Amino acid sequence: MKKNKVLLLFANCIFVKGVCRSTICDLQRNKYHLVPNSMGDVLQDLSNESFDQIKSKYIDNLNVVEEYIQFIEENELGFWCEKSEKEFFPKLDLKWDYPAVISNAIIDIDRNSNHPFESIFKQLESLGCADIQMRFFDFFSLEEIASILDMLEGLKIQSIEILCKHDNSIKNEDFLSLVKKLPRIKKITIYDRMCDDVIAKEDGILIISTKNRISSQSDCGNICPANFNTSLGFFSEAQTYNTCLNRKISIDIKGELCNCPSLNKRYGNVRNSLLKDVSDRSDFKEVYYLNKDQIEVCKECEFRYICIDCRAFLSDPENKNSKPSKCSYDPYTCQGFN
Amino acid sequence: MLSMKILIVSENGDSITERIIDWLLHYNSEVIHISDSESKILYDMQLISDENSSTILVVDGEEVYIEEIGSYFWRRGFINYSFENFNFTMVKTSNVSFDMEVSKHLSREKEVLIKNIYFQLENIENRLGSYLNFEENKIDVLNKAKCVGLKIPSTIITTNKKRLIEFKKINGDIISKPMHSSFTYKESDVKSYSHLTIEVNEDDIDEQNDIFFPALFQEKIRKKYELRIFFLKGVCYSMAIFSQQDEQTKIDFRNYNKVKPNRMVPYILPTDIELKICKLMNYLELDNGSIDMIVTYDNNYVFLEVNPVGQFGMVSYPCNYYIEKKIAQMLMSN
Repeated sequence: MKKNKVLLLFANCIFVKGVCRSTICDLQRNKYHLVPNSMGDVLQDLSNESFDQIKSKYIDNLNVVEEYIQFIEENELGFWCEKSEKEFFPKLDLKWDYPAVISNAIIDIDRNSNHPFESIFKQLESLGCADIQMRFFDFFSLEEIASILDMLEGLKIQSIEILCKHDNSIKNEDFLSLVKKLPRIKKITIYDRMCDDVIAKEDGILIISTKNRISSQSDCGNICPANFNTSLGFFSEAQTYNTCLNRKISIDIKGELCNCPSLNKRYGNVRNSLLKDVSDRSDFKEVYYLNKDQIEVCKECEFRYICIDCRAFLSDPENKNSKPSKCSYDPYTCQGFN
Repeated sequence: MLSMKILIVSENGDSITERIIDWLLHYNSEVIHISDSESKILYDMQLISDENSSTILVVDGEEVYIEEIGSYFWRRGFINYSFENFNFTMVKTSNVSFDMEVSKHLSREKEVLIKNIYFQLENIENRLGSYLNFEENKIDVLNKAKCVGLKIPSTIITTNKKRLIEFKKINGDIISKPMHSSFTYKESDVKSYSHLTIEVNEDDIDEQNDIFFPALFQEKIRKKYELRIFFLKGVCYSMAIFSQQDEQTKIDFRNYNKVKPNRMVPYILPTDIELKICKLMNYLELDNGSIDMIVTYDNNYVFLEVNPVGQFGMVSYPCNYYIEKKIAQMLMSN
């Protein structure tokens, strides 16, 4: 410990205060640390005055202060510097921006769907969409899925995520060769399988199976620590935008256009409406700006900037600002996540 | 008035260039992207007369009039012309020496043509980067940095063991680094050779002959932290790198540690240092580039080197500076 220096958190280690406890979100190393709220006050003081100078304030708890300092040092979350150097280390500017009107899309498909995929993909590309999640709610063979994805050939779409139904005719190797043939596929989730399993997790590609029965769009919106995202991109987006709906456009099983298939509002059908026209509508974009700071309960939760949101399944369906119903965490008691 | 287009020259698969183009397309700009070895460039004509001038290239099948280009960004890479019908390296008569001389002459003819396109492009007012001016001489840069008042590490370039021993005696810990650029030769998947920055100790010196291949040595500066500064037309985007905790990256932060990456955070330069950097970049006639510096425990700012074609994504992303967006906006302001 440097007695005549101040302790600063690195700009990419951000203290987020909750009700009963806080997090320090390490946006560079993509992890978060659970810490007591009092650490925030101590760090605030230590960033302005040296340890010697604040000793008298914390005279009854010096060992706690020392513990906090040790924690910060061990996890490399902060550094010691002279007071005169503080001005050289600004806070991280958390603005978020994106060079496109639409960044991601969901396409839901079942046996009755009749989507004009070629047109959909071309339109999404010209809107700047980078990621598409395709959810197959009936069984589709890998050949059928591949023939749809072949229409992405030559387009700028960067990544595809697939949700598909298990069948005994498909083996693990078949998924691996699909991913090899179509390297745009970054994640495959196979549902209705015997058990939860990780089939492959390498080179940025994830293939997992789940025994969950997924039959429709209502099986979405799960809020849990497994879905936390502690990256700079996500954290900065969460400051201003809804982390699920921002710049997202969806096509439901009937081809109807919407922000998300689990929300009720529809904006026309893909067969007679252009994606661009829908995404330009101000009412379509309104929901982009409903970020965690406006959601009840969430706005006080220590995980609010690393947690995905869901506006479709609400704890109070009459209140569009209410907490997601599928979140079991209570930030007022710290109970709910295992 | 013809609509003004934006021309960008880069290497294949340069992701930051792709990102800049994403922004430009989002703003509905017309972009011509010449991608080093991927784009097919044909030379059509250049007309110079009293009445008018015009230069036409054919880029991937499309005619491009140089006079239509309002902004030009040379990121990296070459404009590789295809002189398909002129396979002049294979001039073959029975006189080998004649063939060789003719080939050399035709190469020089081609060179004039190509260089002139770069001259024309670099005459465009709204431009960023320069192919003709990117090869910085590291020794010259150190001298110029010293001229503008920046501190530099004590440096010796020598072939002489005696001088090296003397230099080490005076400076204590010393390092050696390549004079041109870092070098790596990959022999196999598990073996490669490289010439990077390394520490030089007494045993290393003992092993040398009395006279050796010229090499550059510098005093090793103890760093509190390093700075990587991206200079863009008078503005410094700075980042501090804390690598002291990590043995692997202690000498050169590019010896990356993927498991526990060094801390990279935004930084604001003291005004006098910023002014000196600007002065240096103007002196070197560079409108953009990456500058490496070390901040010592005595709070001295020591200049190490400048890289006119460095990866500025590594400053822009961790610090959330959106430099790619700023460059796109610069290129759009015709």
